[in-house]
Amino acid sequence: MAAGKEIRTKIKSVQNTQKITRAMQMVATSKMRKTQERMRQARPYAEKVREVMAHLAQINPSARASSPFLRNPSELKRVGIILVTADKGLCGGLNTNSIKVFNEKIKEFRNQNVEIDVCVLGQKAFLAANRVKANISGSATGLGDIPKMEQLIGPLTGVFRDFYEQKLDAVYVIYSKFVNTMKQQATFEQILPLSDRDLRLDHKYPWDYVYEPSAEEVLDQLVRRYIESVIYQCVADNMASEQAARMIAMRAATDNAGNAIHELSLAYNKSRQAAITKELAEICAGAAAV
Amino acid sequence: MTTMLVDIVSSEEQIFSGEAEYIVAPGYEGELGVYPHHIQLINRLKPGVLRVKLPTHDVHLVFAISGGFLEVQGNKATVLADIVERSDDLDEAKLIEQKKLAEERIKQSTSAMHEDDAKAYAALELIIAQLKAVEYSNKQARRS
Repeated sequence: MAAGKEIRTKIKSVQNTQKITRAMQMVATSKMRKTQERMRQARPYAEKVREVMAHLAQINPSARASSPFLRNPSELKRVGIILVTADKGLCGGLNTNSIKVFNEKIKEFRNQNVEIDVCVLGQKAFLAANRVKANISGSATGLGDIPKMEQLIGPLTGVFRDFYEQKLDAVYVIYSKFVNTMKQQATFEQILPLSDRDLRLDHKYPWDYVYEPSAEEVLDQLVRRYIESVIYQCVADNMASEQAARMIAMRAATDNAGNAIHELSLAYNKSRQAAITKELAEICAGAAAV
Repeated sequence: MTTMLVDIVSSEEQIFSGEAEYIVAPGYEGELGVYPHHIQLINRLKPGVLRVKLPTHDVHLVFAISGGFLEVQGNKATVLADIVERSDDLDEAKLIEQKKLAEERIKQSTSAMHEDDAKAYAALELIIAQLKAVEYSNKQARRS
């Protein structure tokens, strides 16, 4: 029965693993709902800021031309990349996919002799940036399950200042876009300079606002808020993706554990049956000999 | 009485949305009141007290905000705030304690730390705004 006992311990250990993965799956499911809620809640602000910003930029070409945030550099010398990942693993290929995109872009920019500053949000992003020996200009790790603006402002302010002072010519973000529960897409997007789509240049606004203080100052502040809210949205998306990916990964792990247990119990029963048959045969043989 | 739509949103969530008779906001160059059918306007806000008069209530809804924007157009006022809190959610005793702490931090800091100084002042301004909001709603409660 030695084989039987071994199999039994194995079944026990797989069962324990299954308990853990099932618990993680349930935790991820409930957290996913919360993070998705967050994602939606942040939307009205981003939409409103974008609307007002577009309106202002449209109606005040002089303010638009003079704003360092809205300049459009012809040549890239130094760029900023904001890499958003989860803090923890055990969420399938989520972090790996984002980091793969990150590594490709780093290689691309290095080939073009463009210098890179990286701002990392999330523990895994920090490790990935260190691995490629990138210059880390700002970092925030241990973001928890709900994104908080205060935590992001610090590292982002550095990036904005560098762009404002023309040390950076462009800023990009890499994160996992939440498409649906089953699908998360590693995404590379340009944040600064703002695209024409962001500014809705095709849209015509017939009237102007009354400002306090000046249009230039209000526009600069609005652009800053807009970018902050875009990044916030990216982090919120990434967190929803993280929980969804973890839920899927843990469900797969639970299913796999179930299969393993099934196979192991088959083997266990077989070996038990074999042992009993063997014992019976021995007894019968012994009886016949007497 | 005519009313207008008022939206108060922070970068993290929507705080308030509904009809109001007027609002009073802490503008950068002085407090300003907005009534229905106000001219289109964008105004930077400083840390302070934001009040909303609802048609159904005699007392104002009181918020403490840390700054942001007020946008008015088409009989609709939108407050884009950085941090907003309802005065009912604030605890006066705790705020007074926080204020002391913040003031001490500013006193102790040396002139070398510019960035931290700015942060400490911003924190203090927010706490003062929150205290004012609590004070205002207390006064309102006593009056009614």
